[in-house]
Amino acid sequence: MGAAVRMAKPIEDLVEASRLEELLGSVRQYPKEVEIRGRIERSLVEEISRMKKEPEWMRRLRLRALELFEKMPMPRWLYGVEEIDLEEIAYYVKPRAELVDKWEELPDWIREAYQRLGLPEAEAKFLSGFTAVYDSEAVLAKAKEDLKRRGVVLLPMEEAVRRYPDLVKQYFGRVFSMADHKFAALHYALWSGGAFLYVPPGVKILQPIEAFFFIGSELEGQFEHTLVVTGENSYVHFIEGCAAPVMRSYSFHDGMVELYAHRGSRLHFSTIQNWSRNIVNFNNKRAIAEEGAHVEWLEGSIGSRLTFTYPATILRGRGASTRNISVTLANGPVVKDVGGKAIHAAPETRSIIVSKSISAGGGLATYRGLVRVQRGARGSVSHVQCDSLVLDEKSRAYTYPRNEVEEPESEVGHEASVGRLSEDQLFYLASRGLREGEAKALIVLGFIQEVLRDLPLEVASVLAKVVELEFSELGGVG
Amino acid sequence: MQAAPARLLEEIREEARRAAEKLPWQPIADSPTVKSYTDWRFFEKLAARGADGWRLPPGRWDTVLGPCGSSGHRLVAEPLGQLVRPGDSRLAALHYAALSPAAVSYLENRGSRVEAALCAPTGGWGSRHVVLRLSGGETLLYIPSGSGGSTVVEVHVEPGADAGLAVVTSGAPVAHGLVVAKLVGEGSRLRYASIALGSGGQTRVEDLNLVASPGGGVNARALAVGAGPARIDYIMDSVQDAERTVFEGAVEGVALGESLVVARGSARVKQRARRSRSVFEASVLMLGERSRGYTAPMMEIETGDVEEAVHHASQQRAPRTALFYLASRGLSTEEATSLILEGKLSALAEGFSLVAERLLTEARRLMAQAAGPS
Repeated sequence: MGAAVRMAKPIEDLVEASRLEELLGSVRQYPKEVEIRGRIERSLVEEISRMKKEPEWMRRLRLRALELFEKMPMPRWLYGVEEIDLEEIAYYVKPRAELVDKWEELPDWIREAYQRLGLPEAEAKFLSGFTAVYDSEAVLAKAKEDLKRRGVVLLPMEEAVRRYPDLVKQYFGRVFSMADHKFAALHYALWSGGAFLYVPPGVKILQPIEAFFFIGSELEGQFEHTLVVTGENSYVHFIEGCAAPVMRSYSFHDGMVELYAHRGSRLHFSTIQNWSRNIVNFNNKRAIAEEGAHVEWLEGSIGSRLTFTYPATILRGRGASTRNISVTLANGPVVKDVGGKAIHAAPETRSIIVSKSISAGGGLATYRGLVRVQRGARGSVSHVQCDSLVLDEKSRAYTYPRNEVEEPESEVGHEASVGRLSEDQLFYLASRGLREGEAKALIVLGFIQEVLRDLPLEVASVLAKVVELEFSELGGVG
Repeated sequence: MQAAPARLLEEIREEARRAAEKLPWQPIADSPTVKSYTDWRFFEKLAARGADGWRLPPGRWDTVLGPCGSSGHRLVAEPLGQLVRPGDSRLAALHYAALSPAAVSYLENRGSRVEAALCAPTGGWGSRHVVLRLSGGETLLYIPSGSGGSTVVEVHVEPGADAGLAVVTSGAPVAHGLVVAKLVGEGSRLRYASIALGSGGQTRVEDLNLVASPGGGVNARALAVGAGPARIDYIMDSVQDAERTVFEGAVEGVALGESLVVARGSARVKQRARRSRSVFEASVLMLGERSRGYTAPMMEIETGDVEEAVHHASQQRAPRTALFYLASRGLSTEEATSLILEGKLSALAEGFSLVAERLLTEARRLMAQAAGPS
C-alpha cells in the first residue's frame, strides 16, 4: 500500500479493518491483453522488446543481461529463493487497459482497485505527479501542469525510452550494474513498467511524486524499473507504494530503483511496501550522490512473504551524504532480509544508517548492511544503528553488519541491540485497560518513535498507522 | 564407547583426509555477509608441505607441549575432535590430516598457575593440538607460530569452575590458523584473554565460545595487532544454548603500517537460552597511514526472552586529543603508539592475577618485534 493511500484514507477505516488484507482484496479475474510465460530465452526477451517498440540499444542491453543471467549461478545465501520456480511465472502481463492520464478513463475494474486504496483522492490532495503500474505496464500517468512548465520529465519508463532516448541512455543501468547478481541480470532482461523522473537543475518540487505498483495475479513476475535523476541543486521527494491482493499461490517482484543525484541536489526516496503475504519481493535499489548531494532512503517494509532489499548509496563527490532508514516488520511466518549500504568514495562524505526491526509471530527480521570507506575518502564519517525488538519466543532477529575502512582518516561507528517485550510493560499497560494487541502496538510505536520523528509528517503518520493496524491484528490472534 | 587413543587419531586423520578433498576454504562464497577476509592463498601455499621439524619456544616454561617438549607428550584417552571436528572447515580438515601423535597434548589445571608453551614448527605446515581441561586457576598458553600451519586448542571448563585462560600467539611469515574452542560447563565462569600479533603473512584466529549449560558464562577479550604488511582476521563467535548464560566478548584491533586487521564475530543466542545476556564489541584502531580496519559484529537472536543483546563496532584513527596530549609532552609518534598499545595490554591483563605478569612480558616482547619496523 502506498504512502498516499494512508494519507487520504480516513484512519478510522484502517483501524476498523480486522486484517490489512481486507483493504488489499483477493485475486479476481480481469481481462489481459498479453501474458508471456515459458522458458526465459532470447526469443522471449526480443518479443518483449518488440512489443515495447524499443530502440536497438535497449534491445541489445536486454540480450546482454540475458547472457549474464544464464551464466551466473543462483545465489545460495538467499533464504527461500529455491521456492521460486521461474518456469511457472508469467514474465510479462499487460492488462487490457491503455495508458491514460485521467482516473475516469481507466477501466472500472482497475479504477475500483485504486479507489479502494484511496489513491485518486491522495493524488489530488498531496502529489505533484503520479504513475500507476498494473502488472507489467503503466496504466495511468499524471503530472501537474506546473511540473511540465518547469521542464520536469515524469513518464512511464517505456515512454521515456522512446521520447528521451539520449537522456535515459545516459543513466539507465549505470547506477546498478546488471552484473551485480543473477536477479539483477534477470531484471534487466525482462524489465517492464516503472517511472522515469528527471528534475532539471535548480528546480525544487515541493509536493512528492508517487509511483504505485500493483500485482493483480498470482504466479506473475513484476520487473519494474524506476530511474530518478536530480539536476544540480534541485530537490524532489519520490514515494513508491506497492500492493497486491491476497493469493493462493505466490508472485515474484524483482524491481529496481536507480537514483542519480547531481551536485548539490537533494533526493528523498520513500518506499512503503505492503505487499500481501504471498509476494516474494526482491528489490534492487542504488543511488549515486555527486559533490554535496544528499540522498535519503526510507524503507518501510511491512508486507510480503520474503523480502530482500538493501538500498545503497555510492557517495562519489566530496561532501556528499546519505541517510538510510528502514523500519521492518516481520509479523507471522515471513522472512525480511533488509539493510543499507553506504560506499564512501570521496573525501568528507557522511552516512547514517538506522534500522529498526520488529519480529513477531515466528517472523525473522534480518539486518544486512555494509559501510565501506575507500582509500582517499579522508574525513568521512559513518554511523550505523540497528535495533531489533523480538516480541515472542518463536521469533528471531539477525544482524549482519560489515564495516570496511580503508582510509585511516575516517570514522565508522556501529551500534546494535536486540530487546524483548517486557512483561512489566505489558502488565502496566493491561492495568490501564489496554488489550494485548493495543499494548504491543503502543510499545512498537515507542520503539520506532525515534525514526518516525525525523520523517516527513505525512509518511510518519501513515507508517505509524499501518504498524498499529498490524498489531491490532496480532492482538486478535493472541 | 571410547576408542584407543592411537586408533582414534588415525580414524580422525582418515576422516580429515577425505574432508580436505571435498571442502572449500569457505563453504559459502557468494554471500554478501560471509566474505573471505582471510586470504586463503597463503594457507594453500603452505599446505603443500608438512612440518620439517620442531624447536623449543623461547624462555622458561612450566610445561612445554608438543614434539620438542621436555615433559614429553601424552596422547590421552581424552577424545579429540569434540569441539573442533575434521568436517567443520578445510582448515580443520588439513589440521587433523597433518596431525602427528607427538603433536597432540593434554593439559589440566585444577586451580593453580600454569604457564605453558608449545613447540614451534621450523618449516612447512605444523599441526599442533592441545586439549585443556580447566577446573580453576589461571593458565597461560604461549603459541609461537614458527613457520606456521594450524593450532587447535579444545578447552573444557568443568561445571562450577572459575577459571582464567590467556593465549598469546605470534603471526607466521606465511600463514597461521589458530582455533580456540571452549565449552563452558554448568554454572562455570571463564575469563579469557587473547593476544595475536603479526608483522607479515596471514593470521586467522577463530575463537569459539560454547555456553550450552545453564548459568555458564564467558568473558572474552582479544587484542589483535598487525604491523607491516600483516593480515590478521580475528573471529570471536559465541553460541548460547542454555538458560541464564552470559557472553561478554570484545575484539580490539590495532592496525599499524600497511596491515589489515579484521575484528569480527557472531553472537548467537538460541531459543533455549532464555534470560541470557550477550554483549559483543569489535573495534579497530588504525595507526598506520596505509592501514585498513574491518569490523563485522554479527548477532543471531532466536528468542524473545533475552535479557540483553547488544553489539558495538568502531573503526577510527587514534583519538586526536590523546595523540596531541602525548606529542605536547615531547613524545614521538612511535613512543605515543607504544603507550597506546601498553594501555590496551594492561586493560587486557586486568582480571588476571596469577599469570598477568608473564602475559604482559610475552606480549611486550612480541609487540616490540612486531611493531618495530612500522
